[in-house]
Amino acid sequence: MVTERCHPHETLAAISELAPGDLRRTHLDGCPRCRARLVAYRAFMAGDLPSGLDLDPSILGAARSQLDAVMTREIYGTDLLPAGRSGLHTRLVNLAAKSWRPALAAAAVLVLVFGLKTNQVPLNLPLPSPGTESLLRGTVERSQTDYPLRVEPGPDKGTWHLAWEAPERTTASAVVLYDTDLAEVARLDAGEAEEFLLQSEMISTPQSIAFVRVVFAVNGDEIGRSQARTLTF
Amino acid sequence: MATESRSVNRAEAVDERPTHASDEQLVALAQGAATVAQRQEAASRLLERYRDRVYIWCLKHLRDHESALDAAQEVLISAYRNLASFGGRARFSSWIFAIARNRCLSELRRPPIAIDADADCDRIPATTGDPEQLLLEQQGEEALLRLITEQLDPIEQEALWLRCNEQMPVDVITVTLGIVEASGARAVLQRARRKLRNAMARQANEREEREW
Ligand SMILES: [Zn+2]
Repeated sequence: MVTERCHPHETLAAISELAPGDLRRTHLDGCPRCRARLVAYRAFMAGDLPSGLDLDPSILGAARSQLDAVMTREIYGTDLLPAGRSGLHTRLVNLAAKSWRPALAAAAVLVLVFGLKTNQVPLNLPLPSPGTESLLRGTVERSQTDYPLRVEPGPDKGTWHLAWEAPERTTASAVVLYDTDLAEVARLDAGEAEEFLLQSEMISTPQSIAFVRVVFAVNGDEIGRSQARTLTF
Repeated sequence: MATESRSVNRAEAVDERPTHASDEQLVALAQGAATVAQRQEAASRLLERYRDRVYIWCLKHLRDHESALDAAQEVLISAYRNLASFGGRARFSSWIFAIARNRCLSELRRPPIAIDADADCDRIPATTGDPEQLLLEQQGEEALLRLITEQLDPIEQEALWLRCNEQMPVDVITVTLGIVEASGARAVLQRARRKLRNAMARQANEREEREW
């Protein structure tokens, strides 16, 4: 059933090998987006080229030597450092971002079907998986709900008025902007306020913005976040 | 001349030099072997296994040797720098694939799926109401997914999601899904869009009738 939470990208290959009847496998078999991601992974592993994009052996050879040279410099120039805080942080951020992707794809389907830009379509973006959640949480309890976020056109062209109600203990909020791939493009400090006038000049690449959400923190620890909404300039 | 310009086929494209160690064993060595030299050797062998796949994946998506080379470099370096924190929760192959995929998707970074040549669909007829409103009423994503699974056959579903979720080029979708129709995945996508639009229009009409 596609109504259940989709599987994280990196688990799909293993799930496809589970016995038929296993619930995770059943989800995969019935879910177009999980199946499509698995198809993409298999295409990657096959390493084949689409017809019409023939690869001259000399080009592949050149690519190999250049990549080998770069990797030799990288690997033999450094020792692999033990996992540090920043590495862990990166992974958590990546995991969290990954769990959003299905919603983005759904938005993309709509855009593709209608050929329209969808503004302000609320997306029910899931929270990271429980494992990630507990790691992120640390000692601070984190809300499981996404707080409402209102997005309305601002007074001038190229402005948006954002408004929300932060959880009680919040000491600071930040407006986070993402591109269509859900990569974070900008993070703007909203301080203790519960509204923000977003102006295109605040961002170096406003045309890349596709989504917005607000995150709430207590003394630097994220305790909750708002719904994500589409937003374009 | 003919031999020189022949293209690389699938079997030759991926350089799979046999080695006895599995990916997982090489990861473990790269992370925890006793000496720096052993760790470096393991990391080097591991990444070399994926070098061709990463480059070809990037080339497929970015369509340009230089961009693909830049992207592949970044993917391999990023995989190496984050290898210490790779937890083994997933296979190494899916992990590095996720990095390559994300890198290509950000490179493509095109908000304008709306002005994509493959999104040149007809506007929805005015009588069916505002599609955004329709979406809101249908509770968004889950309803859309239900519609997709109910209305489209598996190939259409996969083609649509590969286009939207993976931003895979249409001709790559054609090959990946083994579509034999004359105009390949483009025809499949057009049909999928038509079916979805019609289904959504039908739902809107039914709702209107109920309200009367
Ligand atoms: Zn799924």
